[in-house]
Amino acid sequence: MTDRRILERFFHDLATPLSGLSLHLERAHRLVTKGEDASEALEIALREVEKAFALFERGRATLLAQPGDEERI
Amino acid sequence: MKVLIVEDDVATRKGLDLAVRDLGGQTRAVGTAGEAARAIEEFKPEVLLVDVHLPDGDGIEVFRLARESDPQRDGIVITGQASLDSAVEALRAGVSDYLLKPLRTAQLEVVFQRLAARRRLESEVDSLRGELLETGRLGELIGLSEPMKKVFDTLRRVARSNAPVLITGASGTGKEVAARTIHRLSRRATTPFVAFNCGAISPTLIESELFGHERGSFTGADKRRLGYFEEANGGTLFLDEITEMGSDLQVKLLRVLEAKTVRRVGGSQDLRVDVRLVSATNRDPQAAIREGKLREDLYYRLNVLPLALPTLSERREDIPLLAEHFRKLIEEQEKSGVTAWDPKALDLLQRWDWPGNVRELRNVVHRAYVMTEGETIRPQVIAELLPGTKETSSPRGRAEPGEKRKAASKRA
Repeated sequence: MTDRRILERFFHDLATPLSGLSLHLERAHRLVTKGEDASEALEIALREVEKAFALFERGRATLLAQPGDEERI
Repeated sequence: MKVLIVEDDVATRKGLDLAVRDLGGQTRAVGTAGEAARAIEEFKPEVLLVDVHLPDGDGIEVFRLARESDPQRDGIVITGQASLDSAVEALRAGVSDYLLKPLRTAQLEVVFQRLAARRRLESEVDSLRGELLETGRLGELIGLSEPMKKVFDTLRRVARSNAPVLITGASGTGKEVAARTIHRLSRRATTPFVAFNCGAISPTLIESELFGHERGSFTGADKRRLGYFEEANGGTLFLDEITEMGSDLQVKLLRVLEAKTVRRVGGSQDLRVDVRLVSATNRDPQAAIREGKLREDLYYRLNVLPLALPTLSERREDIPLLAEHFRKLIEEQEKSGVTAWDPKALDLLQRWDWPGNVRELRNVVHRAYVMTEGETIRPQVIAELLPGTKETSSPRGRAEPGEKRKAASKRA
């Protein structure tokens, strides 16, 4: 896979938990504004952050495993 | 709005579900294409919010399936940056919009607002079409005659396009009303409609009115002013009496139409504008070209979609309908209790030639309304306003327009 493809894949994989994170964080904000309980929304948001971190680690490993410029030459 | 959410990631699905509900939607959320097929049958959604990649299929196919059973259904696809090609394919398949991951509620809100505005517009267009069929109306245009049916038909087709329109018709035939109706029926209906009469302003001022000016660009320009093109950005600009515009300005207008940019008088920047141009003239455009009043190259640019409006004497059968429409409007404003027409008064109106067309008719109806004592507009009032109509023979006689006018003149 080229560097560019790897990066695209990296962003793509991260985009799903980041979607969950922003939607639930924003939901938590709406609930707090209305004076309602936001703990469930925040809990889901936290799980999505953890998922994103796990995916980040995996992506970083793939990225670092790429051959350097001198090897490609 | 009933929204079916199809997204395989549990947290995102739940986040979307709650966000759409908070935006006022009624939702059903599922995780696979198979579940979506069942939900389409049971839930009968108006909108599908669907991820392009599903574990058991393709989100665009789910949308296509939903469209088969109801072509009015709208679709919004969710896609990642890496799948932008899928978004393009989805747009080709007829989805209204797409959302890029990572999703944000604000993004969702904008897309839903846009969708709601479009659905409102479509429902207004439907109701206008219904109005037309039932009462002979299209927007503010009124008529059941054959010439007007043709106008309505052309106008509806013209409204769907974004191309320039040139409306021709004698003075008072309703060119601006037609332009407004085109705008109201178009996808730009919720955007500005700006009308400008090129004949009503000194030729030296037209340029700054149209294109705006920078501060200090000429004596009296003490501040920057936006021109009509900028004011109409995103919407429709109606230029009436286009042949009254000087030849040098016609060249500039042509350039604007070609480049889709304007430059304010005294300015140095070209500003991009998205304006649908509807222009009009009461002259025969070909004759205006021969007389040097209209540049031929501009004419071809403006006349992509021509719309010719008939004179009132070419559609006499519409006169009672129009007269009653104006009477109602005047009654709403003045509330004098003039609520009806004596049929003979309407007959007299149909006998006149109406050189000033619908505008003249509206003025005559207004004067008749003011002069009427009691509830009914009598033929005597009309005869007084239109001398020469009272002594003609058969009440619904249809002599040639010219003949009647001549008869009236002779008597006078």
